[in-house]
Amino acid sequence: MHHRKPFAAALLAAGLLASSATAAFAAGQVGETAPAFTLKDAQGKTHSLKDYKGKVVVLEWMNPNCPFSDRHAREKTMSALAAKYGEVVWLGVNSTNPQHRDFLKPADHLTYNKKNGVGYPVLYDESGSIGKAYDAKTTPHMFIVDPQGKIAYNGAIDDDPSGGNAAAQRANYVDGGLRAEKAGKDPDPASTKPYGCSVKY
Amino acid sequence: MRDVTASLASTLLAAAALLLAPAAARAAASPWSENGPSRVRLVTAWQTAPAAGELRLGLHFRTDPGWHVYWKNSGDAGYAPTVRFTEAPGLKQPELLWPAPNRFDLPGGLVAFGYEGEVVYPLRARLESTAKSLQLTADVDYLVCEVDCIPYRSTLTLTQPLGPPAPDPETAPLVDTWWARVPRPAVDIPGVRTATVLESGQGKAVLEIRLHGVQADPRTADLFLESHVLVDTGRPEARALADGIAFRVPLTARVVGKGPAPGTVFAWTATGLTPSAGRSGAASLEARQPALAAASAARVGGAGTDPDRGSSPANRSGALLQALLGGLLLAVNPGTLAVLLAAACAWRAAPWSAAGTLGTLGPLGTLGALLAGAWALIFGVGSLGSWPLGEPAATAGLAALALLVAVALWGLIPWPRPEGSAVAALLAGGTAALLALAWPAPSLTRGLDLARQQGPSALATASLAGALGLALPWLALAGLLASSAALRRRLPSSQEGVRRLREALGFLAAGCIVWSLYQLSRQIDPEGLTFVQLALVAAALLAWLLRRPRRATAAALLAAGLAAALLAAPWLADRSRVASSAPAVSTGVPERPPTRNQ
Repeated sequence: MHHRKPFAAALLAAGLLASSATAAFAAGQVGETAPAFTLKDAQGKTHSLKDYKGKVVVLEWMNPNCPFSDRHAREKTMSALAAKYGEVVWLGVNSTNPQHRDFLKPADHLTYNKKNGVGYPVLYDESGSIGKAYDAKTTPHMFIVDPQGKIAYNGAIDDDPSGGNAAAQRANYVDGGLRAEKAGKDPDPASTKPYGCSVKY
Repeated sequence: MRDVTASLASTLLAAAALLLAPAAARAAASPWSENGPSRVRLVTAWQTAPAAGELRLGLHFRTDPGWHVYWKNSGDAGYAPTVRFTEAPGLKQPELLWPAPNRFDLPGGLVAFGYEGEVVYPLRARLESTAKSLQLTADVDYLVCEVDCIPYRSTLTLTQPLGPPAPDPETAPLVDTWWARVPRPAVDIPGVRTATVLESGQGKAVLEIRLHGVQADPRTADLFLESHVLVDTGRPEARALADGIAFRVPLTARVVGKGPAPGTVFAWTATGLTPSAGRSGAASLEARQPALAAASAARVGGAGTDPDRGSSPANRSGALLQALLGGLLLAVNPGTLAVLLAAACAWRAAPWSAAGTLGTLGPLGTLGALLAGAWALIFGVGSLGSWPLGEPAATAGLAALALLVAVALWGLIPWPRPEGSAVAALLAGGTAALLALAWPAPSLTRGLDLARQQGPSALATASLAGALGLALPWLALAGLLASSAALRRRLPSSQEGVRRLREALGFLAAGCIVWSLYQLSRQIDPEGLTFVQLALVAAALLAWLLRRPRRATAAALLAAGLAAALLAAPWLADRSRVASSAPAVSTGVPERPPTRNQ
C-alpha cells in the first residue's frame, strides 16, 4: 500500500511532462491536438478550449490596428461567416503585447467590435503564449479546430491578400473548411500560407 | 499695342505649355506616386527604345527608413507586390523579377524578406511594335511595413518613344544595377555545383543546401527559400565547406504526417556569395531542384563531416531508376512509334528475315538508339542544364529530322537501303531516339536533376540509364518478333501493305513536326518561326522533286538542296532567339538575364 504513493507521484509527473510536452511540440500543425488555453475575453469572461469540446471552434487572430484585420472587420467577412455557421464557436484572439502601440484596452476593443458588428468574444492573450503555442504569425491567422479537438485548418482567411478582388471572387478557405466540417469531411486545403501584419508579440 | 499684346500672349502661352508639360516629362520614368512612407514609379532604361526585342523596365520603390517592401516570399507576414499592365499593342506581358533580398527580424521570432530604403524590381518584356511610341500603364498593389503595415495601390503611366535605341543616362544605370542583383541560376555558372539534401527522422526534418565552387563567408551569406505548400521553414545556419558553403534549414510539416519526402522540389536563393576566381561576379545564386535523401537516415541535428553525403548508393540508384523509367516513358511517343513500326515492317519484308537475323538486327537497332540517346542526353542536356532542350536550334533541328522521317515514310525519298541491314537498323534506332527527345519528359528530368547534384560521373551514368530506357522498346520488339512467328505474320507482307502502313506512319511523324514547331513558337519570334517553316516546306518540295527519276547531276543537286534546307531550319532558329539581346548600355551586367524565375 505504501509504495503506491511514489508510483502515483511518478505517474502524475509523467502526465504533467506529457501534457507540457504536447504543448511544447504542438505548433498549430494540422492534425495535432489543438493546444489548450484558458483566457479572459474583453468583457472579463473566461473561455477554455475544453469547454467547447464536441463543437467546431474557429480561432481568429486579430488586431484592429492592422489594416488586414481591420478590413475584414469592416467588410464583415468574419462576422458574416460566424453568423452563417451559427453552431460553430467563433473566438477572436488578440496576442498583442501590452507594451506595443497597437495594444487596445478591453473597453476600446469592445467599442471597436460594436462599431463593426463583431459579436463574438475576443480573448486577450497578453503574454503571447497561446499565440506562440499555435505559432500564429499574422493578423488575421485562422484555425479551425474539429469536434475531436484536433486542428483541421491552419492558414489564411482567403486567397486575396490585397483585397483587390470582389468578395464573390475570393476563395474563402474558412467558409469551405466549415462547410466540409459540417458534412463530416476534412477541410481542403487543410493548410495555406496566412497573410496579414505580423502578430505584435 | 497689338504687337505687345500678341507677344505677351505668346509668352504666356509658352509659359503655360512649359508648366503643363511635367506630367509628360522624362520618357524614361513615370512620375512618383507618393504613398505615405513609400513612393513608387515605373522606369525604363531607354529614352528611345527599340521597337522589337527585349524591353527592360523597372518598378522603382523608395521607402522611409525602417519601412520595407517584400520579396516573392514575404516571410511570415506581408505580401509581395503585384503588377498588372494594361494591354498594349505589341507588348508581351512583362515579368516581374526579384533582386536578392534581405532578412528582417521581427519581434516574436517572426521574419520578413524584402528590401528597405530603395529597390528596383526589374520587369522584363518582349516588344514587337510598328508604332512610334508605346503607352505603358501599370496597376501596382503593394504592402509597405515598419511596425505597422500599409497596403497601397497605384496606377503608373509612362509613354515610351520607340525608334533608334538611345539609353537614358540616369535610369539606364539604375535599371542595370538592379538587373545585376537578380540571382542567377546556379546551373548556368560553370564550376558551381549545388545539392539539396533532405534529412528526416523522429518527426523532424532538416534541409541541407550545399554550394560547391563558390566563395562565401558564413557570417554574411544567407539563404532564402521560396514558400512551400508542405512546410514552414526555420532560420538557416551557415557553415563553410572546403570549396563552398552549406546551409541547414529546419523544416516543420504544415500537416502532420504529410512532410516532405526525398524528391520534393525546393527553390532557394543564396546571397552574399562570390563564384571562384576567374568567374564573372555574381553575388547571389538560385536553384530549383528535387531533394536528395541523406546518406544515412535520421541524422538530424548534427553538422556532418562527410563532405559529399549527398552522393550515396541510395541516391545514385534513385536517380538511375528515375532516369531509366523516364527514358522508357519517353520512348512511347509518335515519332519513335512511327520509326519503330516502319522498321519492323522492313524486317518482316526483308527476304532473309529469319529468326536469327532478327536476333542480330534487334540489338543493332538498340545499339543505334542507345548511342544516339546517350549522345543527346550527355552533351545536349548535361551542358545546357535544362529540359526539354531549350535551345531553339535543337528544337528546329528535331522538326527538320521529323520532316525527313515523314518524307521517307511517304516514299518521297528512299528508305535506308538495303532494308533489314545493320546500317538501316542503326540509323532507325538513332533516329527514333533523337525524335523522342522533342517530347516532354518530367521523370527523366527529375532523375537527371537528382544525378547532377551528385557529380559529373553520376550525371553520366544517369544519362546512359535514360538512353537505355529509350532503347529498351527496341530490344522488346526485336525479342517479340524473333520469338513469335504469329506476331511476324500480323505485319503486312505485301509491298502494297507495307507502303500503305508506312504512309500512315508518316502522319505520326508529321505530328512530331507540329509539336516541335509549337515548342519553337515559344522560343523564337514569329518572323523567325515563319522562316523556319518556309525552310521545312522547301525541303519537302525538294524531296518531292527528287522522286521522279532524274539524271545523276540533277538528283545530286536536289539532294544537296534538300540537305541545305533541312540544315537551314536550326540555323534560322538560332538567329531568332528571344531572350538573349545584350544591353546597349554596358555596365558589367551579365549578358543573359536569368531565364528561370517562378
